[in-house]
Amino acid sequence: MKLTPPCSISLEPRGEKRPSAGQAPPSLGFVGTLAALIGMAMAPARAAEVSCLGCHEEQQKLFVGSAHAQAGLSCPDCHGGDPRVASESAHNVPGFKRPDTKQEIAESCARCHSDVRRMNPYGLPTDQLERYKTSKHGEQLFGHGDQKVATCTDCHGVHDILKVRAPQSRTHPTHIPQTCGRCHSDAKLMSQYQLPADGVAKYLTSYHAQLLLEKGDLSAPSCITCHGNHGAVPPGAKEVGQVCGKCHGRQRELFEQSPHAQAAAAGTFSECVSCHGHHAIQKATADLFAQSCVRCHAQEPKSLARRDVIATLIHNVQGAYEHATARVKEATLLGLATEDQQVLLQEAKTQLTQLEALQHTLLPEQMQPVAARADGIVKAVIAGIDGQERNERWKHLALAVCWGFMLAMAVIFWLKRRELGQKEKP
Amino acid sequence: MKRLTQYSASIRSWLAGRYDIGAVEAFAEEQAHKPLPTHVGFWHTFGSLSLFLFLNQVVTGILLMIYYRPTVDTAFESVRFIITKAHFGWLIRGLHAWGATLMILCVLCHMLRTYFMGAYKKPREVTWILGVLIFGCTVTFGFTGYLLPWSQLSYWATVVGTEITGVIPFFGGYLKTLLRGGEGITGETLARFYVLHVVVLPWALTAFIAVHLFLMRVQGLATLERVGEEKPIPKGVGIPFFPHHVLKEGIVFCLLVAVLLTLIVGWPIELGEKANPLSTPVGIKPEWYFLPTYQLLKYFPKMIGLLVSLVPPLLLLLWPFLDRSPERHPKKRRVAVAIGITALALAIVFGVLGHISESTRSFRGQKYEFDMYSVPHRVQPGTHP
Amino acid sequence: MKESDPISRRSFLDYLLGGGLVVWTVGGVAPVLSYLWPAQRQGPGAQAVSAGKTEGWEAWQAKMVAINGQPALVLRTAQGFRAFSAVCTHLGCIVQWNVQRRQIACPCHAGFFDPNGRVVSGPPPRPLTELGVALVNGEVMVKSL
Repeated sequence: MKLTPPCSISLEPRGEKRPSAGQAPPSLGFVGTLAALIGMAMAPARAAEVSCLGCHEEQQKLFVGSAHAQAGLSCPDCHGGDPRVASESAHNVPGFKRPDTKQEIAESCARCHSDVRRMNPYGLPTDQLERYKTSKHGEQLFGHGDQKVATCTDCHGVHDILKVRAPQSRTHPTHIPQTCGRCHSDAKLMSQYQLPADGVAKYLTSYHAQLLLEKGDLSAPSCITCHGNHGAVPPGAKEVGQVCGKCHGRQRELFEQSPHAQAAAAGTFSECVSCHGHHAIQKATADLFAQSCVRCHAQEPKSLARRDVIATLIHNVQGAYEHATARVKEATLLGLATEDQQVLLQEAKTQLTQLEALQHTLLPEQMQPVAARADGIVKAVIAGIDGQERNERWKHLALAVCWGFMLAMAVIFWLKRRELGQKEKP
Repeated sequence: MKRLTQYSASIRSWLAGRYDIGAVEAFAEEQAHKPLPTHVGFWHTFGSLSLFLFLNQVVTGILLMIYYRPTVDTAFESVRFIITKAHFGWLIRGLHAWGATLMILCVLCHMLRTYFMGAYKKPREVTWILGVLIFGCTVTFGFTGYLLPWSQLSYWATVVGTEITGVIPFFGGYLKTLLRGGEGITGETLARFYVLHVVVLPWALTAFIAVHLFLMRVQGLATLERVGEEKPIPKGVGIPFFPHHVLKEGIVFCLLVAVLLTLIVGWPIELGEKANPLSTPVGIKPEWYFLPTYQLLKYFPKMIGLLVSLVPPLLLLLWPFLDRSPERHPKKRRVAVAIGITALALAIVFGVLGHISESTRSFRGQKYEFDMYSVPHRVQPGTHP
Repeated sequence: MKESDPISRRSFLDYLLGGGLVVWTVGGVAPVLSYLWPAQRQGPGAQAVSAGKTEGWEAWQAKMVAINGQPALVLRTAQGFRAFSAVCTHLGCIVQWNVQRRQIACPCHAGFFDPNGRVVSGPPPRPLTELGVALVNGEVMVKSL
């Protein structure tokens, strides 16, 4: 709030008067600056744009479709100046400014965006600047005056700022990797901060990216889901579990019961990351057992034996479930009634998914009952399909009998006919 | 046994006291033992096979109506219920679906026999015309019945099939709307097709068949002699209808039932997916008996195609008046036989073309893609599938 | 042999013929009678499935039923009955009613839905699919919308 005085005075009356700008003349007995600004407020918004447009057509084009243009703002709201004057002298007004440094940009945005009253109608938070200052970006900018770090406009754009959820917006979840990558994939820039530049590239190979970018699942995480947006910092080893647990809550809960939880508390094990990695997280498959466990337990046959028990449990249930699914599909195409089996399959899948989550306990005794339940359901599915297919075989048998009967009848008819013919001949 | 004879005798005397039962019995006797011409062979059984299949359609159709529900929400589910849940429902539905196909086949064979043996000539022109109408009814049965399961294939085949009526100038649009009961294929269309299929067509077909059979019986089967020179068949020379010809029919009938059952068990007609008006499946094709017309229509602009496709049925209907030669024996009717064989060959060729159009097939290890005109295009290995 | 005994051969053939026709008739009629016998209490048109009587069904209690091969959850709220597809919109696990939280819970990844089927927390991307409920003669009938 401390950084606003000169500007907020000049802006606030304007904002408040705008709805009634055409009717009630505001008090003109103010100091010159104020009077000029109020006069500007009375003029239709078009006039303001037109006067800047003469020289700043490029910016105007960008601005037209932006969220700010939709909210009814125009050039002087950020830049000041006298929009009625269509020459360079329009700039020669107290309060005209062109934010030059990144600090100034952040503060200029915050004039409105940290103002609770002003943001309320839009349902926007007002703590972005405060959060930003806690981020690595903000620390670097405000602490060291580093002009290379990202400020508001680096991620949101300048004149063409769109709402976060607008599909073309730079800050739309599907565009976040690209937006962050503009700096964080720049190896030269990152090397100055001893930061890796392959985070985004790795992320793009991950299952999360596949969900977000290929399947369009907006609930899948982008960079900011884990790192934060305005308050962006890399989560530390201790916080990783919290970050992943935002979505993978059940796994985290179960992980707490595992022997690994103690190791994580002791700091020798990075929760989640030790097995799943971070940016390039893949869809967890059985391969993970072969790759991850040996990193620490290569010399411990006991631990590896437990791994094998767990892996086999899951592998067997998965195999059985897939087999049953294929059988049901096949039977459905054959025209058999598989509704009951489909319900059972759904239940088996529930058990299987639970089993997959339960492996985070690393406790086979917790997993076994679930695996047994899944196994029982799958067996019931197979038994149901088998029964139906036995009926199909019965149909073929009956067909053979029918053929025998029909041929026999045909022969009887034929014999009868021949007999009649013989009787008549003599 | 004795008592049974007594009962039947008393019933007979009760009836005889009221009706001229002797005349009825004499008529039945005469019809049963009527001698048939000596050339009557297995080709002559297709008529009665068609009749048997018609009766099969009536009986199984009535049985299907017990569980079938003709609304958009329930049609597909009820057919699935019939196939999967109802006892022997798969058999009843199989008899109906495959029976329909075989019925059309039998009617066609019966017509071919009549054509090649010149049996349509004077005095049996009306019997022939009724036969053509019976064929028309049978095919319309097939068309309306195809929609009733409300599956993807049936839905889209009907979309394509009814679309064509819209091409007729002036009243085509009205006709299409009338047929569909609206703009698109909806529950209204289903209701209309259902009514046609289970009420209108069965009675129409029953009436046509009754007159057809009556005329056939009264006029007797045609011989191979010239028109106007048919001699009555002397007693003892012809083949008695009963039991000789009936036994022959029995043999063919047994084989037909066995084939029908084999088709039902071995090649069940799949129900497929429920109709989805929002997604057109690829390669929608009509049933085989519409394929020649379907393919023919593709080679002509819509209007002309319609006119062209109207020619064969009209020719068929008016044929007895166009072919005025008095000969019946195929050997003495070279031109008519040639025309018949050409027409049959054309129908088969167009049918096959229709069947392979818009599909990809392998031939001697080389893949070919057939476009809608059934022109093959070589698929280079490694390009799109 | 043939000439010496024509009558018995003929009658044997006739017996076969008669017997065959009887078998034929029975073989035709039996499947038809069996077809006519109701296969189950509900016919094909009844895609609406009964979830039970309303009486004795306390508010905030839920039941599971199967509709067209899919599990469904039927819930009595303070306002009335609601039914949802019990297939979680996340990975397809079967959701359950959690009485303590008064929420629909997915056991697989701790997804929670409110009694309106909307996502409260957890990974599910979409609300649960709502099904239609109708009260017929004191019975709760559920069908897909």
